[in-house]
This record gives sequence, structure tokens and C-alpha cells, in this order.
Amino acid sequence: MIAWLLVIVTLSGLGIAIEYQFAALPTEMSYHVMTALQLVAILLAVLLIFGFVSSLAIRGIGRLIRPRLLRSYTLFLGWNLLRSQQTTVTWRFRIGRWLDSFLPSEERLKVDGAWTALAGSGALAAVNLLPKWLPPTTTGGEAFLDFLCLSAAGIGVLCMLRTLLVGAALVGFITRQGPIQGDPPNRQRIAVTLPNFISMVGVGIGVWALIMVMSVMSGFEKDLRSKILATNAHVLVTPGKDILPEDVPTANGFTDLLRDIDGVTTVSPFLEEEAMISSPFNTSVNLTIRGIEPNGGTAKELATKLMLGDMEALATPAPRAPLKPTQDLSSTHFPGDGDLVMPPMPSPGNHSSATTPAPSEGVVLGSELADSLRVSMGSEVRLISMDGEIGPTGIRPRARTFRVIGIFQTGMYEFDLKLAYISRSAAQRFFRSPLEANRVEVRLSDPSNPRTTTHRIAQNLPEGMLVQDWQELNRNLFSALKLEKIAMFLVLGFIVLVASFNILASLAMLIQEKAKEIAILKSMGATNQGVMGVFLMLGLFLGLIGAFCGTLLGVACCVLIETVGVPLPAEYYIPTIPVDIHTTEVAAAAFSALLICLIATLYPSIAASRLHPVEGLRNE
Amino acid sequence: MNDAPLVEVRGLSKTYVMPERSLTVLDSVDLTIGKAEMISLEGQSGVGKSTFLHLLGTLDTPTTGSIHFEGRDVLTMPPTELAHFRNRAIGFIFQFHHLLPEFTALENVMMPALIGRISGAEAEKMAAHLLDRVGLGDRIHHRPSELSGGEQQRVAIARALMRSPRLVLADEPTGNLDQYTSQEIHQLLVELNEETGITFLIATHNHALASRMKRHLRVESSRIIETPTAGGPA
Repeated sequence: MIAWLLVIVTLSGLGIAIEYQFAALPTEMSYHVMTALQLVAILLAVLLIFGFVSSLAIRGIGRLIRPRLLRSYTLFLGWNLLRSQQTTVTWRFRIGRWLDSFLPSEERLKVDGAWTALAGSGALAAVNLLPKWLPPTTTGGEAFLDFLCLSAAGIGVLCMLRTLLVGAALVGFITRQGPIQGDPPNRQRIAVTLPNFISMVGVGIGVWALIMVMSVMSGFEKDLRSKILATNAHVLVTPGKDILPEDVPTANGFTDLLRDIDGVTTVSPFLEEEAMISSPFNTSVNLTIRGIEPNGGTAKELATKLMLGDMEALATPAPRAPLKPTQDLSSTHFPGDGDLVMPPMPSPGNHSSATTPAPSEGVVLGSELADSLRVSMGSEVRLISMDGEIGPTGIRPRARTFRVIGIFQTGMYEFDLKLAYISRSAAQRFFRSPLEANRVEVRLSDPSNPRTTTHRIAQNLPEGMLVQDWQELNRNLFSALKLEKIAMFLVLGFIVLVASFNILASLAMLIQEKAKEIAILKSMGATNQGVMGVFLMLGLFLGLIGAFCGTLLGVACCVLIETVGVPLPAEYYIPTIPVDIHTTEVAAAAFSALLICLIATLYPSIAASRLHPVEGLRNE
Repeated sequence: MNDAPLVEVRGLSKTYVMPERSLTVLDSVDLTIGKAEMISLEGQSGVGKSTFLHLLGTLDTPTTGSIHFEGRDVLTMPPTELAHFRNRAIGFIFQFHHLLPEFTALENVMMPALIGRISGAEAEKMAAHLLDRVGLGDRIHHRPSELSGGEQQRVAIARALMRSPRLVLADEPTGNLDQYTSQEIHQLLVELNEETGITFLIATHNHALASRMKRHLRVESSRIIETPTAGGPA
């Protein structure tokens, strides 16, 4: 065990050192070398980790089932056919005299190995840390630093090579100088046969990939859901097509009707309309304007996502910057409520004038929208409603100036680009809406299960009102995510399927090889079912250990990614790769791998059970 | 039923049908084997000694004829019952010992008991005792590859006796051994026959071994004939 650890530590140390050294060379050559080295490192790491974990699993499972092994010959034979002592014997070779001198004494192998590994890791770490600790101040200092780094690298590589040697001696791959003793009589069955190991690694990699991809996808889904739930209504109430405006309750009416329903935490009526927005620098179409109560639930929720500003400013119109006396008002003054003419945009910096216009209402913009408009706190923007009046030149849009009093960030690009909040009263005036509120945002104490509360809400409202929960509102999005997840599960499941063919092939070969032994078993009274059971057990053990290793590594990697945090580029809008481990998904991955392995084992097992004993004995 | 002979073979024939012709190896063989007998079965290579042993051991089925074991017709038994019968009543010793290479001597000997659902501890005790009896008490944890040919055959003998069968079928048990080791194995088989009362039917080319048996059979022209002496005429 310690030997495996030493080998893993050594190779990791070497890998890191090489990576650091090559990363410093920004040439095409170093890129290709790095890619090749990374591939080799991944391959080696997978084999080593699986070697280590499978060896651990075999020992663990072996200890667990040892008392039960002798109760059933199918279990006993299946378990022992899985393992082999051959691996250690065939790979063993004697080292030369000069290498022998590098090895510590037999008793100190583990201790010396551990110290050497530690020293090697330290030396290799020093190669990268020395330039930070001792920044060269003189010309001579640079050369001295180079010398120190090279020495440390040399010591590190030598230590690591010695650790590898000690590890190999501990595992038994190499033996010391001395008279050849012959095979020791009580060898430990520490390994599995090579075909079994390959099959196991295949299954393990499949399960590993399945768990990681499923968990990352679940992480993205969870992140998306939490952002939708934090920004949008858990239950949205809208007036239907058939309801008359006079039948739609007022804002307070909605609150009175819904606030006492069990499961409802906040009721926030608001007015939502589509509009355009423009700044002196840019224009954005397809904007959703929400007119909210400055002290309501939505405002409080939004306050938590504010990067800049204050939601209280939404209630009080800010005084506008005075205009210059010489400035033509028609070209600089943003028309107020009711103006039907779109004046030309002012140039930036024209707001430091002596003339004081009417105070402007506040607007809270999403961060992406603010960026695209190139506005910041205190800037003025113009909202343009497409619902204008018909004039001699066609529909004349209605426009009004608002002052940016806050910038929010939800973490959802779509929301941050397409949403703006103003006060409900300002929205009602601007859109000339006959309704106080055309939407009601209802938040629930348990948004994960909104069906019952949604039903109660619908019962409390007048007929004709449309009540939809967040699952219904985002059905297409979550259906697509679910479909994508199923597709990924199936695609990655093919890795396990391919691995199961590996098991099928190796078992079929094993059965050909063991025809004589099968015949002997039958001559001793083993039934056809018993022989079938032996090979089923072998397949089951392969699948079990492979799935166990894969699950262990998959969950460990997910936990590592979650804990350490793998940064994502800014354009993904999520700082680190999100991971959400679902027990059911992990169990599904492991169980499906096990099932596929069992199915793959069926054919060779049946073939083994049908082998005629005389044929097996005759093929001597 | 106890008065019935151990094995009673009547009209036993075995014909191998091949695409071009058929080959009759055994033709209308009649034979009765009693309890605690020590019988040699001789004949040239390829005359059908092994086939006869396989038929008696129910590893193969005859073309015609019947085999009664202590009065029971074994050929009418369903496969699972036949497997149990083999486990309880028959022991096999092969020329090339046929030990399972992955297992130690002890585990190999335990195997018939494990197949017969004897508990592990009891099987281990019995196997250790039998290995001690055949002179391998100090080699029980060795694998077949770590044992000599003679030792491997002793393990195979111990394995054949593990379930205290009524009949042991040995197919040239010393065919692969040197003269000295063969004599040791002969001696062991005779001793075991006397000690346990188990019937031994031993196919062999070794006249020395055959001459130590009380009864001699010979396969000749697809028939089994009784001879007064080992290798002698009918």
C-alpha cells in the first residue's frame, strides 16, 4: 500500500515539475510536448490510481467476505479466479549490483522510502519556489539562482528515482542481489490477472465519467434553478385574455387575496411591459421593464443582488442635473411623461447646466445592460415604450428619462441584459396602464414543490386569472436539460458497454483456457448451474470492484472540484464549475454498470456450464 | 439394495459418429464390480479404457446399455442428481493429476467437499488429514506448480478420496511418473483400498501395478474381458 502511494506521489511530483518547467516556455514546441506529457500523465495516473484503489478494494472485499467464501464453491472459485499471483512473479527481476547500492536495508525500506519521497517533493517544489524567495537583484545573483534551482531539480529527480526503486522493491517487482531463492511458497494473491484488470479499469472509467458528468450537469442545473428562483416569481399570476380590466384586482387587492394562503411567503404585484432603452452611447431593444413596489418583496430580493446603489431611491425621484443656460432644451431635455416626440440624444457631459429640469424617476439596471449602454450610477437613460399614439407619420413612441439609481447582477446573463426595474407608480404613468399591476410575483416557503400552493392560489383569484408556477414557466428549459442529461448518460453508458464487451471477451477466453478445470469440477460433482455460478461470480466481482473504484474516484473528484473550485472563463457567467452530487445518480451509474457487467457475463457463463466434461479432459 | 453389486454394466456400447464413418469403441460390454475390489484395466492405447472409465463415472453417456450403481440406474438420473451422485459416490484420479493451478494442495483437496456443501472448517480438517495420510502434511499450502509430479498425484488421490466415495476410477495414475515414484503411488493405492474398503478400478499400462490387483480386466476388440493375470491372455 505504501509502495503504491510512493509511486503515485513520485509521479505526481515529477508531472508537476515537468509541467511547471514547460509552461515557462511559450513556444509551439512546448505546447505539443505539454499535451503529449499530459496525455501520458493522465494515462499513467488512471492506471496507477486504479491499481491502487483496486488493490485496496480487493483486500477490503477479501477481508469482508473471507468468512463467507468457503460456504459456497461458486463464490470461492469466482473470487480466486479473479485474483492472480502471476503478476508479481512474472514482473519480478533482479536488480544489478550498482542499483542495489541505492536501496536501503530491508527493515528501513518503508521509512527511507517515505523520507526520500518527501525530500524529493520538497526539492522539486523548491525549484519553483526559489525564484520567488530569492529574487535576483544582481547579474551574479541570477546565475546563483539558476545554480540553486538546477541543484534542487537534480536532487529532486534523484530522490524521486530512489523512491520509485524503493516502491518497486516494496511491491516486489524487483528483488535484491543474492542467491536466487525460487518462488516463495506462500505468495500473497495481491493482484488481479491482467485481462481482469483491464476489464475492471474499463468499467471503472465508465462509472467515473458518468458520475462526474452527471454531477457537473446537475450542478449547472441547480445553479440555473437557484438563479431563476432568486430572480423570478415562484408562482406568477397574470390576467388571462378573457378577463376585463375592471375585473382584475388592484395591487392591494391581489395582496389581500393571496398573502394568507398557506405556503406563500411574499406577494408582490408589479407591472411588466416591453420597452426599449437608450443611452447617449447605445440602444437596447426587447427590454422587460418591471414596475415594482419600492418597499415590496421583489425590491427586497433585488436589494440583495445590487452591485451599486440603493433600492430606497426607487421611491423618491432624484433631482435632475441642471442644464446649461445656452443649451437648446429641445435638444437636451429628455421629454417627460406624456411627451410623444423622441428628441435627439444629448451628447455626454451636457448635464452640468444651470437650468434645473423636473426630477427624474429612478431605474435599476442589470449589470450587462448597464455595460452595453455604457452607463453607470447617476447616468440618465431613456425608456421608450412602443405602445405610442398614432400620429400623421405613424406610431410615435413614448419616451421618458430615468436616472440609474442601482445596478444589479443575478448571475444569469439573460436577466442581467434584459431586465430593468422602476417603481410601480412610474411604470403605470409611463405605460399609461389602466391596471395597477398586470403581474403578481408570489414567493413560496417551499419552491421545490409548488403544485399544491399554485392550486390554492388559483382558487383564491377571480376566474380568468392565469396562475403558473416556475416549473411550468421554464418547462422547455428544464425539459431540454433533462433530455441532455439522459442523452449524456446514454452516451457515457457506452463506455461501460464497451468495457462489458471486454469482460465478455476476457471471460470467453478464460473459459476456453479453463475447459480442463471446468471438466474436473464437473467430475467432482459440480452442477451446470454451479459452473455457471462460478463465472457469474467472477463477472460480478469484476463489475463490483470496477464500479466501486469508479464510484469512489468519481465522488472523490466531484468533492475535490467542489472544494477546490475549478475556475471557468468569465463568458460562462459562473465563476467555478458547479457540482451537485445526487445519491440517486451515483447509485444509478454504479448499478447500471453492475447490471451491464452481469449481462455481459451471462453468455460466457452459460457456455461454460454447457461444456462437456469429456471434451475438456480430452483436450489435454 | 445393499446386497446388489456396486456396479453392474449390461450391454454397454459407445459409438462415436463422425462425418465419414462411425467408430464403435465399446460394444455390448457386460461387467459386474463388487465392493472393496481392486481391479486393473489394461489394453493398448486408444482401445477405449478412458471411455469406459468416463462412462462408469457418468461423465459421458453410452450409445446403448445400462449402468446400475448399487442397484440404481444412473443413466436415468436428471443432470443435477447425477452431479450430486458423482460428488458422493465417485472419485477420479487422472494421469495428469488435473489439479486446479490457482489453488493450494489443501484447497484442491477441499474442493469436492465444498461442492458437496460441507462447511469450510470441516472440509479443511478432512483435507488436511487426507493430505497427511498421503504424506503431504507439510506441503498443504503449496500450489501444484510448487510440487513434484509424484506429490501432485498424491494430492489428486487425496482429492478423489475426500468424499469417501464407493468407487475410485483411476486413469493411468502413474503413466506420467518415474518407476520409483510409481511404486510409491502403487503402494499407497493398495494401502488405501485395504484401509477404506473403497473399490478401485485402475486403467494402466504398468504390469507391476496391475499384478498387485486381485482382479484383471482387459479391453480388446471393443469388449472387456476378464484375465487371470495382469497382461495375460483371456
